[in-house]
Amino acid sequence: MDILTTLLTNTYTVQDLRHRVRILKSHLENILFGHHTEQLSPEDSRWIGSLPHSFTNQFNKDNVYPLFDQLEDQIKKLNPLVIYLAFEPGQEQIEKIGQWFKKNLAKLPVFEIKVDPGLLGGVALVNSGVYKDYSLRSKIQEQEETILAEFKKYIR
Amino acid sequence: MPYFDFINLIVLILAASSAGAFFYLQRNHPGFHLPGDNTHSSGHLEGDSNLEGKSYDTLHSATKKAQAILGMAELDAIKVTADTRFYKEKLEDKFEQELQAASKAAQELIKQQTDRTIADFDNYLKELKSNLEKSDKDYVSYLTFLKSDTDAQKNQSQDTIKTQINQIFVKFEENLSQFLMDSQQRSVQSIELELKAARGLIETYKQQQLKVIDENVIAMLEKTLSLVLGKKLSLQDQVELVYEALEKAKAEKFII
Repeated sequence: MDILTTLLTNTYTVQDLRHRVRILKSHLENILFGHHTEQLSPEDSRWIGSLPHSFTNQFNKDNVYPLFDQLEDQIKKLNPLVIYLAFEPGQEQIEKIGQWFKKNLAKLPVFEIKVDPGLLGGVALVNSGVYKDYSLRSKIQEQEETILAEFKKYIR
Repeated sequence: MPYFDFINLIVLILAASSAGAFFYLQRNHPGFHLPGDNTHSSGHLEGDSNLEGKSYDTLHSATKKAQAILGMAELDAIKVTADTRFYKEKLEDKFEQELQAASKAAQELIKQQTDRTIADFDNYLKELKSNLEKSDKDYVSYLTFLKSDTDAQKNQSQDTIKTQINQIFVKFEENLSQFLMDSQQRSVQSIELELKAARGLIETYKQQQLKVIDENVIAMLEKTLSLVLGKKLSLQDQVELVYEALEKAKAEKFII
């Protein structure tokens, strides 16, 4: 299992992936070179602690930077599924969405969360450059004629 | 007056005669001089004394003749004056008589002429009076004719004017009626057009407003729902809607 696959086991968004790569690098620099490490949040500390020893042992002073360069190249090449939400999700909601993907899709996609309050509810997706709206707003627009007809009953 | 003129005439004749005698003597006797005249040369003094004596004699005789002539002339003048006075009185008497006769004849003639003129004037006055009376009758009759003619024309003019006024009134009523009908028709048409235009504007405005409402009602609904749902929907509800949307995307095979 390569590094990226291991990281994506419990990392669902691109934002989280970049964040975790950064704190992992910092952590390994601290271990290998004794560099000063930043103060981690409990959640980040827990995630670092959950990594298996075999994963961290594959890094040494000689390969740590080439491996991270390679990893960043792989991240750049990722084509994440963009998910527009009507609300600002917390980590809990992001994990729930990731778990849904893990449970319902054959391949777990990396996704990128964006916020659009105009959606009202639901999601809009951008997959491989194609936008599709599955939000409450799109449902209202689909029912526009019916809604207008109902309104016009009161106007005319 | 004639008396003094006659004397003067005589004196003038005498003076002329004296002057003529003097010049005659001087021509026939070149040494003749009047007394006191010293303009001649002294070489002739002796001859001159003789001539002077002769001259004095001549002059003396001439003076005497002149005095005689003057006396005769005075006598003749007195005689002529007396004759003149006589004939003058006689002529004056005759002139007086002739004048009286002529005056009398003239008076007679003037009287006759005056009488005749008066008679003619009386006749003329009578004729003039008769002519005036006739003219007056003619004038009165003409005035009567004029009055009757004027009355007739007046009546005729009044009838004509009345008829024309009646026609004008009838025509005016017709024109007024037609004008009022046309005005009413035009007003009605104008009002109908205005009404139609106003209705069109209202309908256009209504359609525009309805279009605006149509265009905005969904946005309003979305905004309303956004405001309402943003407060009413819990995170769990939002997650449920996300699951529902993802299920739909999966069903449409947008995500596999």
